[in-house]
Amino acid sequence: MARALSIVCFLFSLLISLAQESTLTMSVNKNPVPVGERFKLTITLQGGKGNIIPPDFKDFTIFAGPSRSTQTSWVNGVVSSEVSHSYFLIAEKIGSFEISSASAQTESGTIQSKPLKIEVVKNDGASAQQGTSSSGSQYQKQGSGGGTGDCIVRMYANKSSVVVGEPLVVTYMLYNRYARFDLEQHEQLPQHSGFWKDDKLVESPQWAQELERIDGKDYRKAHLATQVLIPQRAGELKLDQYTAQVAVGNRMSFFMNRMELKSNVLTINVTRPPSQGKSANYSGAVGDLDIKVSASPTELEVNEAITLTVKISGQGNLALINPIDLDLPEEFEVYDPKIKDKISTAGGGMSGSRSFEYLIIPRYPGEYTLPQSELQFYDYTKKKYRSAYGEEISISVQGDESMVKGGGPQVIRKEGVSELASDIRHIRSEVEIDHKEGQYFTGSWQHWTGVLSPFLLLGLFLVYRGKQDELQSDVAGMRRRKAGKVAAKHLKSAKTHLDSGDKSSFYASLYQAMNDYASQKFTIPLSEVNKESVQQAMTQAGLDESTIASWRKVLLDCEMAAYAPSAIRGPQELYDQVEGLISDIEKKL
Amino acid sequence: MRVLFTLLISVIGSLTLAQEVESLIEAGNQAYEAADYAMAIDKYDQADSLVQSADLDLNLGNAYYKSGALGKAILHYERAYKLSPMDEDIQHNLTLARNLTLDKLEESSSSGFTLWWRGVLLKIGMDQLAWWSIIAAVLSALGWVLFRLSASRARRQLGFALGSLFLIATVLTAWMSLSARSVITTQDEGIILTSRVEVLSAPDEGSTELFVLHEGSKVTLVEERGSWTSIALPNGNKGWLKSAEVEGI
Repeated sequence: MARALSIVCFLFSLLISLAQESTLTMSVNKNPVPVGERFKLTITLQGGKGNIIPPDFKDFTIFAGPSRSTQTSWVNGVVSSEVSHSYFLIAEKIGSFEISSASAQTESGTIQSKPLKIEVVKNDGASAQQGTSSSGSQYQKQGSGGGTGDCIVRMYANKSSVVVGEPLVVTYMLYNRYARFDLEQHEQLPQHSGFWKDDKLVESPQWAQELERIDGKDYRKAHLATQVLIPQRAGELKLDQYTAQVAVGNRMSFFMNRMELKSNVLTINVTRPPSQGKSANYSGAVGDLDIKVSASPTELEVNEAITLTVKISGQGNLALINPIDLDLPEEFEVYDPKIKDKISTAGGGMSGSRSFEYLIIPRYPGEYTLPQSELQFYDYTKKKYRSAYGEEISISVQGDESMVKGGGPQVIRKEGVSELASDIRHIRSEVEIDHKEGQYFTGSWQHWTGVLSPFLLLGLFLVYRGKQDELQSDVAGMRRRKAGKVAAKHLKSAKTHLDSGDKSSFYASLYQAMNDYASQKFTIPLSEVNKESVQQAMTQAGLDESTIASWRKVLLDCEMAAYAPSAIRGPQELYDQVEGLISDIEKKL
Repeated sequence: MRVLFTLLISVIGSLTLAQEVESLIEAGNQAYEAADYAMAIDKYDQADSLVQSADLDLNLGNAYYKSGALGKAILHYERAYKLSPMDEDIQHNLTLARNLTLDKLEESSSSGFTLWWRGVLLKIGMDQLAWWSIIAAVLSALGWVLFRLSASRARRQLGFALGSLFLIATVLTAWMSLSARSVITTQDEGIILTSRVEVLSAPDEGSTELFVLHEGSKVTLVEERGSWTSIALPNGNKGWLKSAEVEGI
């Protein structure tokens, strides 16, 4: 008995000690879990303090956590404490997975939890995800149990298939069957990737008058938010799930039960506008649009400002429209446009207008015409490209050109000569350009006269000198050459006289012949011919003394014969001597 | 420049013309001082049609500049610069006026040597060179005379050397004077006179617009055909515009 008692006592004490000892549990808020969804895993250490060591979540991704919480309670004089670590995990694959046991180091050693089996099932994305209380949370114990599907959030899109740039509207609705309801978190709508979005949250959602029947149950409904989305790229774009934090409770319950509501998942099929019919300067405008261009003032002075307004209105992706290309003259200085929007997202799209206000300053006077501006857009209802045209605008810039350059501070703009178009070079024809003669001294006739006349004079001088020299040399030569002939003539006449026996005439003509010859030969004027001058000329000419002496002797004989003809040698002898002398001189000179 | 001026007058050989030009310039100067630029331009222009003078071109350029005609101002500054490239006032005015043009064009791509040679020619002056050529011709002729007349061998050698040397000098200076004249008279560059000119691809109103030029821009004149002129830019762009819109320097 004592033995039995002791066993019972032992068992009891063991039980006591067990109750007081630490336990480690691991739990999840849902099982099975849809693939790709978040679920909460909580590791709880009850009794005592310790270090929780999480297991390896190798088949899951940690989305958030761990978030730690501690709780201490006093029940019947016994202090109990609880430490819990929570993780939000996401299952990546379908199947059955086991999370290995977690461990904790406590004062009394290391303890381990049980491993956990988790079934991951296919995600039924279309149905609203119903929030369930997490089993490890303290709220769950206080709540009075949330029936499945009593609180739902849903997203509705007005279109499921759009082109890039076509606005669509997503409406967020809340359905509820709980008597007490509190919307705790309602500030952020999901960031849908691939979309430009414009959120319109309902400030304080109100229950609608009528009820909505879903799956045979009546729900109160409230409009939470509207979101205008403009797809930016083509493809099957998935809208992110919307999550709302709510607290619910029954009429009778005191505590509210916190829940996380998840919406359905929507997929939007986005196609690209066709490339057919698209012009080169299509800038991505979509919808049904119109363009208006206005400028004021249209008459102004240089360096004054013009406001050019390009207003694009209609329905479409107005908030995403870029400034159109304005074909402005290069003399205009253009500043970046100011954008003014009057866009309404009511009525299932985006309508209104977007205005671009350009500040333009003409820097040069003149008459300018701003050509029609074209806005091409894709009309998704008619499924084709259309164009809207702005008005042509004439601008008259008055002003003195001195304002462009003259005094006062102003901007001097330097720009390269920009080519507007390229074309072949024009054909070339052989054109010679000759310059008009100006009144220049250089190249004038005076100049050429000045340059050439010295040479002309030089030439004349040289010619004159040459002529003179030639003349001089020629006269002497001729005479010399003539001398023999002259002598011969005189000798011939003397010979005639000799033959006829007229002795005095013979001597006279012989004397004459000698003097004429000497005059011609030695270039002595006839009047100056005498014995001395001839002798001198002969010496200069280099004749030998005997010849000169003979010449003298013959001359003397001729003179004497004129007075005493019989006293001298015979006339034939004298004649021969003269002939011999002349031929001798001719040979020598 | 005074020398050139009087020289021109003496070459023209008219004392009355000289007086007329002087009185015109005087009247122009007075109008300019009185800020009556239109009158000044009128007087200077009359004088400019009779004579050529860098100073007159500078005055004319100033009058146009003051009256706001940038293209004409640059044209006359360029002409003045052409006649007297070393004149600091002309350089200054020209640089100033050029800075106000809208088109940013590269400077013309003449080689350093060409520019230097032009500078030398213009600095000496074509008429100065012309006179030098005449003097050299006279000296050369005298050299040859000495060569021809001298009996002594040394004098004949001296005469030959002087004659040859000055003959070369005559040819050289005459050629230089003609080059200088050609530099001044050749109007191979022009200035755009109208505020905005569309340069076309062919001498025809309907042809493609290649680029736009603004008043005061310097262009190379390629050829003229009828009322059209073909121009080229330093960057090689070519096109046609109305001859009235550009004037040769």
